[in-house]
Amino acid sequence: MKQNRRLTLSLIMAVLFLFLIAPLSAEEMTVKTILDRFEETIRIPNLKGVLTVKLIAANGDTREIEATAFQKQISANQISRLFIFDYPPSVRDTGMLIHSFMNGDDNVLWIYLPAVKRVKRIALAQSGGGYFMGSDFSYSDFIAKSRVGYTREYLGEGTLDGVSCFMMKEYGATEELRRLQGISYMINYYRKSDFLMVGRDYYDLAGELLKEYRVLEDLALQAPYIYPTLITMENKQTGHKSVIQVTDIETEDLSERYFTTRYLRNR
Amino acid sequence: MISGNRRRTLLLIIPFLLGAGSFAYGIDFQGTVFGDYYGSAELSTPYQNLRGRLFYRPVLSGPLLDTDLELTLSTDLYIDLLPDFGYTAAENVLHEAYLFLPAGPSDIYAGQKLVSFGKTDVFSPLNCVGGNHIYKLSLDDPYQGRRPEAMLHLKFYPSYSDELDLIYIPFPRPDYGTTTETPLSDSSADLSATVHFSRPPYNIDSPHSIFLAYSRFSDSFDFQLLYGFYTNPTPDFDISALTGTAPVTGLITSRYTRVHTFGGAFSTSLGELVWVEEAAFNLTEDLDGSDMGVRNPDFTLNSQITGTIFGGTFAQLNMIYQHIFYFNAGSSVYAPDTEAFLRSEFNNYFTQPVQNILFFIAHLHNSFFREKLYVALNAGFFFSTELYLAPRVSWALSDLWSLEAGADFWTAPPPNRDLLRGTKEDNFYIRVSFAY
Repeated sequence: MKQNRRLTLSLIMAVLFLFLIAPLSAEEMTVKTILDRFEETIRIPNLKGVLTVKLIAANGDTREIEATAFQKQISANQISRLFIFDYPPSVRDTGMLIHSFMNGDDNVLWIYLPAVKRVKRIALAQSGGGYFMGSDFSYSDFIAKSRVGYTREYLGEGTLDGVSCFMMKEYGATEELRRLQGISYMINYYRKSDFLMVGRDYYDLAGELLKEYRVLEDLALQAPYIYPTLITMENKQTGHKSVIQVTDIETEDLSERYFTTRYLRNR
Repeated sequence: MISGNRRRTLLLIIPFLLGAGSFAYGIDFQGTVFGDYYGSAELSTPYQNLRGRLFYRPVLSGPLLDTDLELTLSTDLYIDLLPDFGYTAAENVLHEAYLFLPAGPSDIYAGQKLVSFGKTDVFSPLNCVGGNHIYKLSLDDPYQGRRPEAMLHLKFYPSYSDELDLIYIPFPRPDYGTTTETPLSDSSADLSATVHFSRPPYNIDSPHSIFLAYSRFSDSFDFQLLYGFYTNPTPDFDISALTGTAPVTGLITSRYTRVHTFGGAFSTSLGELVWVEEAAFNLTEDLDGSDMGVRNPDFTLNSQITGTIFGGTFAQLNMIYQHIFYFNAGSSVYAPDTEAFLRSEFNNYFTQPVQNILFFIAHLHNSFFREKLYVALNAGFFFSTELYLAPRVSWALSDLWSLEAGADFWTAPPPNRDLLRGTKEDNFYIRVSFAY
């Protein structure tokens, strides 16, 4: 009798233990799974395309910037990007070379200014106040974020514009990082079918909705790669909107020489 | 012999013909056109029209006949309507004209082009290739900056991160300034002389400038080392023809002397900041400071920090220190007052007014309304009553048209010197630009 009671108690304890740890494992697993699968889709080894950025003011005034963009996965830790601007004339032949790192090391940005014939090292925050060519996209929106320095929580499943998604809350792990970015947290939407991040809502330091990022069109490349080809970023507080369209996409191998200061200066 | 009017007409037509022909060979045809007006803002003097100019810079660039060889060709064409009619001097019509050939791990350039060394953005001591337009009205005039040089330029890339530059300039170009004869006189100094400036388009009499540079770009830092042995584009003075005692009279002639420049620059990111240090030592022909007509050797250190401050405003601060070796050393045969006057005029012309110079330059800029409005402020502080303030504003009327305005203010009155290099007269400008 005593033995049976002991056995029953052990079984109950085991079930309770499994009940407690199971959700924790599932949550941690889901965040990691989502990020792993998302990064699989976007870590395209080589990419070249034509980038058109439309800056739309609240009153509808539109300015357009055109650039040729190159991207290469240099190593497991480094992705490099090169932008050569073609339009408007005020930025034509200006080049930007960005080396970004997955291990949390600071990103490096060089800019080539044709008017002074110089390659300059600048901090990302200094170029356009941290915003890409004056758009609503910050450089961190372009650069695949290192997992270091951010906290993520799985929020479960939901829909975004009729698309089934996994939802994740993401925020800088330190107050300094959140203050530097001006973002208290973000809600990310990953499409269930392929884990592409099709949306992100940004909340400012007061917790108010600041910007919405949406992928309107994407291109399926050689599996598992997917590339967003029409993206909007709308500032819900100012009424500004930026639209990025990527066309003429090529995925042939790019030499590392494209991602050097030599190529930045001479194309 | 082509008359002046026909020559000017050809100079205007040729770019258009080249532009039309370029489409057949895939060459880009770009250009900038502007009209500007400068007025004086000096409270102590009557108002003057300083300049009314129509300017056109066409640029052709692209491959030659489907080869790896690329051509870049640009010209500067302008007419001044105020205060007097004028136009581009013949020696300044050709801006850049060079061929570029990528050859494996090397790049080869041949022709007239601009080269910029150094990593600081203002008063860069390594940026010593090419003369300057010394009488520009805005200190940061983008169309009258350094003068391109006719050169052979080899760049070698031992790796993706390293670059070696070798530049040979057979006939360097001096600073450009229109004055040829300047009286240099002072009754209290018992001096009545004339300074004759020789400003050849290319320095045939003092040829052969050479520059060697090594640059490295890495994820942690960038640096550059430079050596130059070159003809200084800013003239020195030969005072050997001065005679007499009271007064001292005669002709002072300009001459172009040789300089060795050794220097380096370092740039790295410090979080959200970028820090740059740049230094250069200039060894001139006046090795011991005994020749007051020749600039002294000097050492310059420029420290620059850039960052982003409130509201996404780009901020940059430069601290420039310069030490002049053998300042006012040596003696002369002239009376003390005469010698003091000559030294003061020459030292200020050489921008070596005191033995140790320290000053700060600040730059702020920001953009608004989706980058349509650009606002900037340059400021200089010289540890004296003299401050330099230069606000700038630009409004993008469209992607191609822009309206610009600005001013250059010096809080001290213009210096009262005969040998004035450049202008320190307060002024303002307004400009309408079209770029295609």
